[in-house]
Amino acid sequence: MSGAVFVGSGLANDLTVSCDVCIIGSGAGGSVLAAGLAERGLDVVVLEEGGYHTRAEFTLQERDAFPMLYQDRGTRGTADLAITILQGRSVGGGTTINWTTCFRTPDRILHHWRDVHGLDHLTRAALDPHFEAVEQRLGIAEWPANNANNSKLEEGCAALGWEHSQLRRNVRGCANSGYCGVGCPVDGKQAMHLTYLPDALDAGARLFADTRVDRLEVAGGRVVAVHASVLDRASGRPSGVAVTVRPKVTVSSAGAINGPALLLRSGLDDGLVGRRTFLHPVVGVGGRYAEPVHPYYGAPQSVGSHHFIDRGDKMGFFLECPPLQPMLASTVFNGFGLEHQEFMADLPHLGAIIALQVDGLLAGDEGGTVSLRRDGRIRVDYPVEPALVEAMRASTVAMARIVLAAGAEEVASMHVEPVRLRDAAGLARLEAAPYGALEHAIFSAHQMGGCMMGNDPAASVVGPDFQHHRVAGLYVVDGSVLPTALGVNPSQTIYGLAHFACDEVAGAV
Amino acid sequence: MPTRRELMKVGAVGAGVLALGGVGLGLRGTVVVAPPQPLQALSPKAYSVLFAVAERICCYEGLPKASELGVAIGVDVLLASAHPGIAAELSQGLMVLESALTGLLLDARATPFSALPHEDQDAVLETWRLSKLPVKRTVYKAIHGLVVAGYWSDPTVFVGCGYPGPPDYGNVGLAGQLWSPEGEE
Repeated sequence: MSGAVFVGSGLANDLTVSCDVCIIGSGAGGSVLAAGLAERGLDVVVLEEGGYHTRAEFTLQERDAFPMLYQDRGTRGTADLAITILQGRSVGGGTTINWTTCFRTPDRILHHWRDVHGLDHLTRAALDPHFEAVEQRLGIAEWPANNANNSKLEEGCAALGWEHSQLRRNVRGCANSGYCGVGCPVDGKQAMHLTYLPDALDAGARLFADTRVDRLEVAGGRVVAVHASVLDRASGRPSGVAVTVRPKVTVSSAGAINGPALLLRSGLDDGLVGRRTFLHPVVGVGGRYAEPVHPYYGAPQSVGSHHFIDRGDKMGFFLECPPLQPMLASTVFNGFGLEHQEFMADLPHLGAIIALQVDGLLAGDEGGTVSLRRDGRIRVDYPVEPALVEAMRASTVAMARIVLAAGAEEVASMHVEPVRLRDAAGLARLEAAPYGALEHAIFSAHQMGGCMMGNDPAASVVGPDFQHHRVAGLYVVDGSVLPTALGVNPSQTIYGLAHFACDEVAGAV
Repeated sequence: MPTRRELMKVGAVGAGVLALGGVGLGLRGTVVVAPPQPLQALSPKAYSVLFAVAERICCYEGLPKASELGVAIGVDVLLASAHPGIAAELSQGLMVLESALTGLLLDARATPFSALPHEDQDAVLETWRLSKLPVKRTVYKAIHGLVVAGYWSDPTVFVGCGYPGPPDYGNVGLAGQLWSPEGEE
């Protein structure tokens, strides 16, 4: 059987498709699963609302990439806009635009899931073979060189005696360009549209791009149809063509936020769907160095620090670097006029560190909530609770110390009114500054949870086998099943869990 | 973004203030700017306010004006391809910023934003940026983000931030320049 790719412009008439497994979403979860199932001989259909874009369209211009490759054309955020949410939307999902950093799920997270959420089947021994498989397929290996921005993080941590390490990335033939976030120009990043999706297609899977799933039709406790609309790629609006899939088994791999929203649109609101949504809320600090840093070039993330990952009864955080191309940089500082111009003029000399707060691990930390607005749009609410405020304050001060230790002439926070300091004497002002929603920039590049896995149907959406507690044959295989945030970049955990889930899903057909 | 209900509350209070004491102030209307092409998502009024805000946010020395780069019309085009609800909420935010009625309540001004002198427009923007009212900060953040993103993603101003632009790979042969995991070709 030979697979096929259908794009919106080629779908002129309504059609109904039957298959063994319908997978909704082609990101880190859906693609690995599609390949695994197709290679087991199953008839697989993948539906993806984003377009099928390749490097021929990757101009490396942010103005092209964000509308093309990100959710809500790059405008996604929490309802109060306190948190900007960067999330992929194309064939390949987030893997097309992520910054390639890969970690196996840490032991402490697996232990927490076992001890607090009862997930005793997700052990190191059970998962490692799956991690090894995806590492081999995706070329995951330690990156040997640092750009100046990452070198500053390394130097600062070394000077302070803080833990830091080289990061691993899923690349082959990487040009070290720094443009992972706008689509790899040389196909070096081993994103899903270059790896597991072609594997799936080679094994006979069918991929429908520009095809948004509107709802699941549930009858008799099973999904009997998946109803989707073909989108006109230019306008983003439905073209009027409907795709209906009648599968034996249905898998939501639409990711955290979109996946829970799909279940809500399908009437599967049991009071748990959309709850416990985690974002790894990100704050950052900039440092102006005498020498050029060129933060827009070079592998974005090659050094990380988990020195503060375990803070006891306080929220932990970990540190990495972001790439700073002009558009993204311009949104970090929300001043205007000449003050904003001065900030932008420093860009070549600007280094930046980000701190990702590990939400969901502390008792009582429920994260955010995904719901639907009256007009059908997705709404994400994320209360910035005191524990998060404390972590953002602590991580901002820690980052400032690193930047100072790395030799910056000036440090600036991402506050509405940036706190600027030139030496350690200024750290007290940074400590005293206000932290919280709309007090400073907060981003999220990691979305997790919303369809939590657990043993108890009264407290979780899917079981340990990834199957929905109340709808037989409906599986959720993506980052939305995670009971907490991870404390590491989530892509490899999702790859690994999807690889792990293949037998479960195949067994249901 | 604030919900429409929240924005309507702000507007309703402003109307009440006007009814109690603002009558007879001779409030001016929006300074309408003609778009360079037909609008797809924003109303002419909302576009005009966005145009005025963009001119002030991106008022830089030695660099093109936002209007020269088509920042406001670019936002309209972007919104046209997103869910209509996003444009609707942004428009409401723009009109709250513009409104003389809410201006009376929130900023002690009886002139629409678009009709204010530049210095006064800057003062209003600064007030909204630093406001303790979450609604004002949210509206400011939404508008600011769209405007500066539209401006600084335009290659013609990369020189203004010392950004050389992306390399041109052109899909040429890069053998020997690319890195792979050890042991692989």
